[in-house]
Amino acid sequence: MMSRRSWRRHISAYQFLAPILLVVVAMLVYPLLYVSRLSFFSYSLSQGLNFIGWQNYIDIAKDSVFHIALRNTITYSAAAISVELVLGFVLANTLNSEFFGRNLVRAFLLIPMLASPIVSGIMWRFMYNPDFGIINYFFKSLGLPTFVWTGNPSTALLACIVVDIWQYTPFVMLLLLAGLQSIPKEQYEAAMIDGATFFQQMRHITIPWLKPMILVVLLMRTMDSVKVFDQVYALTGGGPGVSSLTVGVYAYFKGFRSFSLGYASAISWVMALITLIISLLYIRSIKVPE
Amino acid sequence: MKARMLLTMFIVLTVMSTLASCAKPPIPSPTAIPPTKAPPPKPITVAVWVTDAPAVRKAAEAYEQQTGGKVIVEEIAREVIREKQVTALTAATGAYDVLWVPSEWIAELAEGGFLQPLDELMANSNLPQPNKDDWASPGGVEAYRYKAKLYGFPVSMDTEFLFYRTDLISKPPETWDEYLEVAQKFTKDDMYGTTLFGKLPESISWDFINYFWSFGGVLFDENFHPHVNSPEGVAALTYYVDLLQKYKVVPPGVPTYEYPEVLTAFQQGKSAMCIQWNAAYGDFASQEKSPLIYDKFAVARLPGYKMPDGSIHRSVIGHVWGFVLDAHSKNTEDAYRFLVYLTGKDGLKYFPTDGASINVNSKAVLTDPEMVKAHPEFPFLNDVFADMSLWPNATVTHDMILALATEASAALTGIKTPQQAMDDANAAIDALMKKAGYY
Amino acid sequence: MKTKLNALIINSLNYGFLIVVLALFLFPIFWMFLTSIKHPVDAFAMPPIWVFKPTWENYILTFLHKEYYRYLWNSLVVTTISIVIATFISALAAYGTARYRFIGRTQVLLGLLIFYTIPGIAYAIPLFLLYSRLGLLDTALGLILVFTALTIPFATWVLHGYFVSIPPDLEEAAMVDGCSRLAALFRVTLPLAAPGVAATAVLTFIATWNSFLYPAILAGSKYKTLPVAVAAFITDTRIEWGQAAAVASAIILPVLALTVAAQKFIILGLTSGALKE
Repeated sequence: MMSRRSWRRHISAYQFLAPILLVVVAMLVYPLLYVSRLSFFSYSLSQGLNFIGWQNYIDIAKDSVFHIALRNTITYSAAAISVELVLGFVLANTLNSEFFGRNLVRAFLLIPMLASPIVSGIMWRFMYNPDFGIINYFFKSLGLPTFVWTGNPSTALLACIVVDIWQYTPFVMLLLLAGLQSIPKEQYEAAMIDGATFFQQMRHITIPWLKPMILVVLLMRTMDSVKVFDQVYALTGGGPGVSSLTVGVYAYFKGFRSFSLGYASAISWVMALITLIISLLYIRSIKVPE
Repeated sequence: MKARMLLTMFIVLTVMSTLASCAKPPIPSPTAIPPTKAPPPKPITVAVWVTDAPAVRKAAEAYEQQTGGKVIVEEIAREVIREKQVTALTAATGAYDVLWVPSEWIAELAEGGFLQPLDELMANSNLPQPNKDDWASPGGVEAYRYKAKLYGFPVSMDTEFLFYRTDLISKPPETWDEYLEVAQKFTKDDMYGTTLFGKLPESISWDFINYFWSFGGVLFDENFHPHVNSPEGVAALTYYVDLLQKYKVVPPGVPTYEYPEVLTAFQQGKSAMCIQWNAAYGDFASQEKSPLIYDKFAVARLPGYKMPDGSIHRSVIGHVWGFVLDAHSKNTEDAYRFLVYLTGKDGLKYFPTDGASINVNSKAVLTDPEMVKAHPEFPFLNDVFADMSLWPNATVTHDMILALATEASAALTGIKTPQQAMDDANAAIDALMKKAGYY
Repeated sequence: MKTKLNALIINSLNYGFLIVVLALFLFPIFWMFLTSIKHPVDAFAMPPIWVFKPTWENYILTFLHKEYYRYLWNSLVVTTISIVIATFISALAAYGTARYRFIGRTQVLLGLLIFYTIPGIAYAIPLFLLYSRLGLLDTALGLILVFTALTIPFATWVLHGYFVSIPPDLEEAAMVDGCSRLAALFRVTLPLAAPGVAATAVLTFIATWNSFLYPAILAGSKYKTLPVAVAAFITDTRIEWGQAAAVASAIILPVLALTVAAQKFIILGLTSGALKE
């Protein structure tokens, strides 16, 4: 039987959790249940609700457009996140030491993140414009071939990925920098006394300390990129054809344009499931003492 | 000490936010003593998008002066015009009494029971009724009819012109073959013959359909079976795709083009012709906005398909936007009163000046001397309406437009051949029809 | 001598790297700003014009627009309140999940993750229904509630990550000295986690400030936030690039100012009480 001490532990824990549980239960549980229930129905504006059991999920498994969207999403996430993680880490590390103008540089690097997805979509659309956009101008001046970035099936997804990297590397940098700043200086001092090189310090101090943060960053970015909608919609509308269609955009079209709410709800759950599996894989492989 | 400060801040903010929400909206009350004997209409809410909202506001003010009925105008961002309004309709709480809906949404919304049929209200002699003689476009009104019931009144109807440079082209092309010839002739130096609307999710559909119909393509037959992959349909898409792929008479960037890019290209002298919506006329004719071309362009009917008997089959898409009533409105009769006012000449007169809708459904407004002077393209617009068709009214129309767009875009950028694209579009529309219960 | 040269090379490499990265990241914003002060004819010129006569018309139109300040205020009020509340209660929760092994811990963490993975559209329609019936549509409270709720999963997870990486020894030492858990949280852990809390607050503030879908669907004319209002200038028939750019700056500038100020303030606030007694 549980001792009084461990009862108190559980109660104390829930005292800390009570506020968020209250808000989340009040606000999000009803929508989540609504969406879950809806996924077992077919819904259309003209025909209303009809119970169809697992049919939506079966249809998703057979939906070739969904498969393409899934493939695109995986490519998008993997490419964007790996660059963001590496670049973000390098930047965080560079900004971790004091140097002249550091605070200013840090503030400036945050700026891409401030642009809302809609604003950055419009800005990049202007730059990607094949006829009067600045990107093709630079490419031409450097002797590189120019592309119809958002209108060419081979480059459309890449164009979106570049925008994602531009917008969210500061995000990764900020979180990792905060993580770096909480590593006690004594660790490094001790290591330097022992004669450790820069890379040894990185391997044995920095990265282990940062593991929880890296994990969180990976999780959050993965989930965000699976859900991504605004930038992709503004840049390419998912096209040409379905070459830059991601799962988030597909779910939005199905749910909020076609109002096939049942199908869209099922897609949301499939997305959630896939992301959860990926998350569990991350958690396992990064081996953070949870 | 720090903890206390944070806690206090937290409490203060919570209290603040609760207070902020306590401020109740003022209860609307009639302001003027109405001249009529009837009691003032109850307040109603009108949803409209931001570009026409100023016009609706002015109409609402005038309406309140006249009848004492208060009208609340809810502006909706253009990006979410469908999302927000359809959500409100499906919620069935009467959040908006009057909504701004294009005719191609009518079938699915009416079928689902979200819209109020107007026929009974029109037969009610106690209510003000629209002046049918003033209707500039009875066809626009019919667009709001579904299964013999009328669901709304139009505000404006738009269609497309062929704009061309008069300093380069003396006689505008009449057939698609001539169109290609002219385009080839002027694709040189820094300029292209013409442009296309290639962007997703929808724009390409609205552009391609012109070619599709004029080549003789049929979306679906009386039994709702789709035939987009007929030889005519495939020929139309092949011609469309070849403009970019084979003949290169359009800028390579057209897969990214929609209204603003087509406008800019013509305005900046980068295309000798363009098929573009009539609303662009004003921008092109303005010296301030189009210094390079304002005095060097004219409009013509779209080219057509030369039939075996020598006649030219033309077809151009139209777009009708208007107002409908929520079936779950709590003030149906009062909403109807305002609907009639707003879509009659008293309300419509504000749209060309304060809104973005120019070609409104009122003869009185259109023949007003000021309007006529400001819009020299009006007489021509009326001619073009003879060629005009609207998307057929089916509950799957919206999804059909999206499916057609995806496939046309795939063909345009070389992912699929025109035949493949049309076959896939046909299969997609077939699936839509089956799911919607048409067969 | 060699180490001095090494240090110099590394320093210059560092600076060089930073300059390149800064240039790449800031160029789009710079270009947007430049476009916003060009006349339309100049904006579309190819090759691009670098020297031109600027026009401030777009900015005058935007910043002198009488409603701009109302929308700015709406965004400010709703976003600040939501983020303060969300950060505070998420910090509490994250402390609980990081320090205690309790029944349901994995479930709570997993549950929060699930809430985060479901895309926004899925919540929007049921929330609209709920709000419609509760009369919360187009209210400040309605927006604050939804922003707070949506921020919690992310904030809790990130703060959980920070708290986990702070060793419990210092708190334990404080508690041995007679501090309660809560006091230990505020006096010992939070100051150490200050950069993390600041980062979380800043990120969630930005995300909430820029949120478009929820204010567009759940609010209307009365409680319009800045991004929604701004969308009106950027329509699908008239992308006036100049005006769009000016308007985009109009959203970014307030956030930038707030971000820089907030980050300093939060860290200062949290660490000022941390001096060991």
